[in-house]
Amino acid sequence: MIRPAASDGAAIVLEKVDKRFGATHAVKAMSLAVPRGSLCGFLGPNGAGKSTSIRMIMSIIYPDSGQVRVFGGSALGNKDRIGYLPEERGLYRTMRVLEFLTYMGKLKGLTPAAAAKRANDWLARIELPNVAKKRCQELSKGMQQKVQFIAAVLHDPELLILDEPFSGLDPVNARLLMRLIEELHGDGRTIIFSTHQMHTAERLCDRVVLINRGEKLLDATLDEVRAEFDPRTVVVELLSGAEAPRLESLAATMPHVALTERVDGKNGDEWHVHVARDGDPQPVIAAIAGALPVRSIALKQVSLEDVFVELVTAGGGTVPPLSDPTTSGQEVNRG
Amino acid sequence: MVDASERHGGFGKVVSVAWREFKHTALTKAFVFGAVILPILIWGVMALSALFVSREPPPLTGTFAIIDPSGLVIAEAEKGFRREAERRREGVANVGAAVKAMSEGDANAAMALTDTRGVVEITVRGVSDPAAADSLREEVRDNKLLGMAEIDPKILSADHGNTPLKMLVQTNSSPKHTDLYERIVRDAAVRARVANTGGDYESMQTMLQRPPLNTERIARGGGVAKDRGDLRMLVPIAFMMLLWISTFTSGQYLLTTTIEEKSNKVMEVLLSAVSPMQLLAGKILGQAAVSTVILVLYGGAAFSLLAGLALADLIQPSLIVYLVLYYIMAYFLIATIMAAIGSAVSDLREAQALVTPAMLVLILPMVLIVPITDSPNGTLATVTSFIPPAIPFVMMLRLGGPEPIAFWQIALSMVIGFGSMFGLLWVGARIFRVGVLMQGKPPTPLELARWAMYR
Repeated sequence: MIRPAASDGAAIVLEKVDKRFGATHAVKAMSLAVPRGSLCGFLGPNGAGKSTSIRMIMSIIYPDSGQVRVFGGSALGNKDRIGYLPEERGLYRTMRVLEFLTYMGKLKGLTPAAAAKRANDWLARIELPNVAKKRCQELSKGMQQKVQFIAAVLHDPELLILDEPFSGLDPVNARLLMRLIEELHGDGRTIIFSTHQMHTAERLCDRVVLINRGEKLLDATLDEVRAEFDPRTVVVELLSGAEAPRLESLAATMPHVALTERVDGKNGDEWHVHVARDGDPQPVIAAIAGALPVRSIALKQVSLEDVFVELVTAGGGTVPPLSDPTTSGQEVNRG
Repeated sequence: MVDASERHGGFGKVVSVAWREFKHTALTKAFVFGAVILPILIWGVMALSALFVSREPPPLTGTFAIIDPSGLVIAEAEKGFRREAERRREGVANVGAAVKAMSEGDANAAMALTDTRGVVEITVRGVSDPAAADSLREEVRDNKLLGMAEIDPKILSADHGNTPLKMLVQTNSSPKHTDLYERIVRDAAVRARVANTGGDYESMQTMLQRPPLNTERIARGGGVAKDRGDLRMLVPIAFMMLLWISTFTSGQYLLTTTIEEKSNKVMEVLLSAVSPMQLLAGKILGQAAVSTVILVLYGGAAFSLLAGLALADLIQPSLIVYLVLYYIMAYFLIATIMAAIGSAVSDLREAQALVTPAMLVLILPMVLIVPITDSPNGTLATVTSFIPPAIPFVMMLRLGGPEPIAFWQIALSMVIGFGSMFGLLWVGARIFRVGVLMQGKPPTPLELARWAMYR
């Protein structure tokens, strides 16, 4: 059974937070706690309510009801302890890079000298040499994103909130950013990032919050998710396709086997044998391996995407596309 | 980790925003050119032209011929040219004659009479035979003579019938020199006519002189001061324009920088570091510095000009105090309106729709300059003194004028003005707080009112 993290000593606590924008119910009675030191992913499709939740955490917008606490108080009183990379990236186009970063450092409470020194150090660390004196508008989009990332971490925050940090980055820069996030997490910082790319979260996070249509579907560590959503699908690669009817006959005789289906696998055809929730897949594996010539047989690795699909369908909903255009018209920016 | 020595307090953030706002507005080429260099250039051009005008012209030497059978005009003209030469040598302006010329509508002669620049050494060649006219004309054409005049004897009689003088000058004779010949010869003709009819020109001229007028006004301190009506009319208008230009220029900058931050999507980055109130405070303070620079620059230039003309006493110290107070009121009223509008829209085009109604009220004092300066204590002036956005401008128009304004009106305008300023700041700040995060179509006035009520 998954239990939400305890709110005692948590970096962030949301209690029954609700937010509407006109007719749109953006966030529905959301409660969660992000423990200090965790690397937590806010996952869900575009428009799920991730950015709205993050903006409420940042006290940029306020909930209609419920409470948001950051380090036990308001984010307003703790802004200097928080680094934030918003979904909508922004730079002063005509400002020079070092001047912009120094300005942001000063707004985060650093002295001008400390801000300038840290900006130069970070520019070197993030592989952006010789751009300090360039105007922001002269940089490529990827470079601008890196500058914005520096602006978020420049003041050495205890809590780092990154809204879709990998969107628009090429694979090389995405990998660099992942490494930096891991390093910052390794230093003991609490990090939250939102994404609709489940595999990225799977690689980085130790905790995930799944959100869909303003509702929290899941709030757990990755280990808890794997334990809870224990895979019950046995993936079989037969040595010969001619053995397929025998596999289907065998499976049909086994108790707790709900379904057998053929799937296009990486190495050709593979068969997925689905074991019912009250069944144990181990005897199924043993029986198939003993009766048929198989190239490989294993339990399927559960993915967050599978979990998401399962949770949405179990709730009677339809699975939204994981990359969905945003809304239009006059409204507060929200994710 | 960041240690304490690397950090500054919350007010430091407001100062940082204000400094960025000031730096990226006032320390830019566009501002330096538009607000500093351009006025300096205009002043420079004016000063240079004055310098060129005041340069010593080349000496005017030569012979001027006069055909006068009576010889009377020749004698008077010789004296006239001699007097002119002496006047210029001694640098004495003939003010009395200039005033008389002015009253006769002869501005050129008036200017020439006060002009003491350039040496004039002209000899008169008197000719009594009218038949010599043709040969003299040839000499003028050959530049051997500066010019020539032919005197009809009828000019010298009391019944002269406005008989004209004939004069011929060189092709390249400058207008100033031509004016000089005309003036001397015409003056000589009149003097000769008076002498010819047995009169005394000097005593006649003295009798015809209108007495000079020395108008004084009761000064504010109770004494008397020289009246300078024309300049006094300009003082209130200058004060109001100074207030208007300085506050509206920076208000416009505030509008554009806020819109720029929204359109560049940098607003949310800023709001992750500072609260909307800190951001608004920083922006308003930064632009206040810009506005003050404009006020000091233009106000200083105007005051220097008055001081240079020894007219600084037109500016009462109390007027400066009122200027500062109403400037603060005007700036915060306009800055708050502009910041609120800037926060609510996504581009300048959308801003125009909201700025226009505000401008209609704010432009009111400009439209009312004439009626208010004509009647600073009239009903119109008094009523508009208590309509909030117009208060500082109308009051500066009234206070700069000659009529005293009742103290209760000044006090009431301050109470209403500063009260509405704080009220508008409160409403504007709430609109700003919501507006900075809004995207899409601009809000209606009703929506703006709703934003102001958001908790």
